[in-house]
Amino acid sequence: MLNKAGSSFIVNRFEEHNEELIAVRQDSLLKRLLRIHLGPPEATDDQSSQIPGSRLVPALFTAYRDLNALRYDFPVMLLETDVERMAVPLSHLIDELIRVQTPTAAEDEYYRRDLYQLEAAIKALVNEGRQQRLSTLWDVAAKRCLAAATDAARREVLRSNLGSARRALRDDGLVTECDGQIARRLFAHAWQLIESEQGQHARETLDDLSAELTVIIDADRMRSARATSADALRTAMGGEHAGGIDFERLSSVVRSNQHQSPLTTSRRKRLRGVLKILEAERRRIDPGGGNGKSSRRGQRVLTTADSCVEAFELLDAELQRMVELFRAVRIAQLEVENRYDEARHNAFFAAFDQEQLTPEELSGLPPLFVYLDGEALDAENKATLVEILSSELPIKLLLELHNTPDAVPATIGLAAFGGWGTSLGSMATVLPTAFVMQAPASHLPRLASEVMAGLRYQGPALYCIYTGPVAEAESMPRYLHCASAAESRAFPCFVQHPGRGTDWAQRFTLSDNPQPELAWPIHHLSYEDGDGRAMIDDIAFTVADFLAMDPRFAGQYAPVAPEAWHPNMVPLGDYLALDPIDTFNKVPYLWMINGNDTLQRVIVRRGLVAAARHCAKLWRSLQELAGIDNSHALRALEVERERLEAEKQGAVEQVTTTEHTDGSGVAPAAAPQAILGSAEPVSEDAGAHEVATAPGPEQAYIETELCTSCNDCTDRNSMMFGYDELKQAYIKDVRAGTFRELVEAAENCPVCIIHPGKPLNPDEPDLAELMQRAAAFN
Amino acid sequence: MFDPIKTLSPSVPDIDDDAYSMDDFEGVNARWCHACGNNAILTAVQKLCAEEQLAPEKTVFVSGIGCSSRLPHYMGTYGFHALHGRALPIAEGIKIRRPDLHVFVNTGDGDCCSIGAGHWIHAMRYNMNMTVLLHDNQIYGLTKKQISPTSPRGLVSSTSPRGAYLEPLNPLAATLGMSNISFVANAVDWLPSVLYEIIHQAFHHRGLSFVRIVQRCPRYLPHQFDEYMKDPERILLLTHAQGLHVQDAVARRFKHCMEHDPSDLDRARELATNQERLPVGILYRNPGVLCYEDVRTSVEHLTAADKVKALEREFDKFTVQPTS
Repeated sequence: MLNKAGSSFIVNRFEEHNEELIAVRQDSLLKRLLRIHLGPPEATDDQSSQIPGSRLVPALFTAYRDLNALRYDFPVMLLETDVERMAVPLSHLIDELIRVQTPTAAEDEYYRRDLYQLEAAIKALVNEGRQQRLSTLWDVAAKRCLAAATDAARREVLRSNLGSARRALRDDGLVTECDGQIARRLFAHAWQLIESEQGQHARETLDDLSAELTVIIDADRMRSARATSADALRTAMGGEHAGGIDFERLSSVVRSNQHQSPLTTSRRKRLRGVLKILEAERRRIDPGGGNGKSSRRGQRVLTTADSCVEAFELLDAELQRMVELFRAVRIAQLEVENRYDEARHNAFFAAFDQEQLTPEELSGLPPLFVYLDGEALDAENKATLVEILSSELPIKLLLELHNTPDAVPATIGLAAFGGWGTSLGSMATVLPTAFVMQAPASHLPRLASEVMAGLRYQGPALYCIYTGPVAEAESMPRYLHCASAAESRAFPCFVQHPGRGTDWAQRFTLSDNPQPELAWPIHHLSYEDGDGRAMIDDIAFTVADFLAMDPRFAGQYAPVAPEAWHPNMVPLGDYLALDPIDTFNKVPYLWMINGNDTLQRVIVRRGLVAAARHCAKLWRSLQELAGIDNSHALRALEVERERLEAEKQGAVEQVTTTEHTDGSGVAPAAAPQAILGSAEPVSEDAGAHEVATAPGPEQAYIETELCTSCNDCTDRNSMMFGYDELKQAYIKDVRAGTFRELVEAAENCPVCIIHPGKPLNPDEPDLAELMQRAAAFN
Repeated sequence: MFDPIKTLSPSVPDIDDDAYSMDDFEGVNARWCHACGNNAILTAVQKLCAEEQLAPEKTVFVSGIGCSSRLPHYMGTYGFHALHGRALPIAEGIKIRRPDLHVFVNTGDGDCCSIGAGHWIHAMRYNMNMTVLLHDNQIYGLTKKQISPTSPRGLVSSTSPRGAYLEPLNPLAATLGMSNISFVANAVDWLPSVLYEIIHQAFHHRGLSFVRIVQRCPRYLPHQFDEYMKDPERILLLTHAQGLHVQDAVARRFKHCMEHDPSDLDRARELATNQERLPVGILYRNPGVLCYEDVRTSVEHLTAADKVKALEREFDKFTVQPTS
């Protein structure tokens, strides 16, 4: 018998699905399966419906049961010198080494196999918990590989191959696995790289300004009475010439030759004050004095905070310091260009405050990075977080989400997967100034460039990173857990970068998700059926596949023995695509595989299906933001299509009516064509207009825009010919010279653009001959 | 109304500053021959400087030896009249040390394609951000008519009284065959608006923009380019949304005007070797080529004191000690 909820659902649809309902009532097997699906986890006493822990896994996980045998994005190496390649998977490095080394064809295969063996050995070391630089791990792994080689000749080849690859290795850095600290570690690394880059730029600006100010102050000192005194000159010249020079006379000569007056007291004081502030900032950036030997040269002090409230306080203090600094920088820039006008600028700089800092200057604010545990934030910090994201302050927030048991109810509240933080990422996308990136930790290496983009962005940035359970789970490696969170749409990846444009199409991307155009990613499942035939099915990877590995949700799954399989059982992906009205007699199931590698159907209970539908809704709204089947666009397209259809229909009706009226049978559509075809005469009219406004053959003129500025005509008669503001010739005053000069200028113009016209003075000698010569240019 | 806050903001230009005009970029009076094509190039670069409001103290013109190389004297900017064939390495030195400067190079067919050919190849490969103008008049004019690498076969000159024996070097085809090129264009001095537009686009290209300008020498080869000047049908104007844009009035003057996508290197090479018509426009442009100064910058940032110390070190090598 169906339970209350199930029966009311069916009764409501009775009239529409009368025949199907009767079929359900007559099918005892289907009723039993529906009861399993619709009932709560504890409602069934069928022992076979309990998912037996980790022994049953979704079929699509089969290939990933042993991650050590696979090559993927982890372990990853954090490069210290290359900002653009800050995190490179070990597998990519090995591939690169194989690609750049080109041994002979015969050795090629050994070389590749040896490097893959080394890669596996390094992975094993990292799995043992070693967090070391690649160079160190490489040497240890190479020793292990050599020790494992039994054949002496083979060992020598291995030694040679590993040695040559080691020599080709250009990069080094910490190698790390996808563990619980990966997000913090990777962001701290990225932050240091960015800081090093930006700090270097700040250091150079300060160096330049300090140097320029020092020159001004030194020059003033050299002009002072003290510096030009006889004693000072004697000291400067050295003892060797002391006897041969009259320094008193020299001092008076030097002083009499000074044409520039010394700096005013107020300017000197201002310069020294500004220089003091700039020097203090230089020392702060580079305490070592900038000897260029340290790789960390130019790096500013990292400022981190553990809470949003603390971050605000820290930033405020930094802001006050930066106001002083940029006030000094701006004064220095004006002083260096000798544009500081006390009457105009003193009042401005006396009232200088943070309101007058430009976005470029604000971007020079020292780093402020905030680490947040998404599930430990109190209400005050949550409110402050939203305030930060709504501001334009350069605060970067790393929000780690763990999906801890306390945060997620293991029953129908499955829709709240990921807790508060999952929704925060989506909500923050509507804030126009906030950079938002949501991704699981497994995707961080491939999203490294986006991580850097957010850190470089001048406004606030929020990184919602799903790092998986706090404690390492035995049932599934953390990498696989995080990757399948994105694969199942439970925790989709997206990036919103306000700096990339003003519309969603430019700012928002979902492209780092698998098959973003689909509701759920579709994968091939290859298996053998009971008769040993090879089969391939396309099945969707849904949020129910992802949660199947989490023991907290075991009660949501119910395996069904093959003899109980029913034609109305539908794969969950297909079930979710149906209209809910049409699912009343369907039973959703997942393909899972047991310890004997046998496929099994597992019914998904109603609560989990509701969670999957909720997840699909969230994904759909993200798709709309990314322009995938955007409903507004589709609607506009439909309206336009209807309009065109109506127009077309109207035209057809008009033709039909005309034919009926005049009976001529001539296609009226030809008429507009004929009108369009008359464009040529219109153009001719325009040409006639141009001719009418151009100077006639009577009048002298120059085609100024074609002049090559060769000076020939202007040298000939600079009163008659002149240059315009673009240094191209025109006839300045035709009466300022003779007609002969005009004709000769025309004859000598290298690009023949002078047209002499007709003579103005009828008494000029040899006019007949000149007019004949001029005719060639008119 | 005067707004001191905006005026003093680094991101807003100071409204009290005067704009530069073409007069601000005039140096000493040009002393080329009457009707020399170099005048058109001079005017075009002066116009560019004024239109782009380049600060004269941030702009430098570098040249080698030849008529063309006198151009820096006629500019009101910094200039470097270098050794024969050495304009490009000097310009590279300036750019690597002072990437903030706008660097232009004026070189001739003798200066660039003969004695400076080695530097030419490598400068193209280095792709430093500068604008190189090759004034190609197909003759050594400054030394009174000797054949240059681009002189046509059969040209009678003081060094080839029986006519030049060799086929000329085609600077466009040669450049388009070099490695790592990023911008190659061809212009003629007698079409000032087109010449300006090409130089304008060259200036805005990030990387080495190589513009070969066919330049008249009315003194020694007065009729050398008459076939092109008097017959617009011999000119093939290359336009494209990503290349040269010309006004309709100019385009109408040319019967042969075609769309050429400057990213198509193979087509550019075909056009460069076209014997029938002279292509005018942007033949090749690839903004994706890395600039040398982006990958190899000067490591040490020198303060004024460091610079003085370095200069003193150099000067000390030439100290003349007084004899006792």
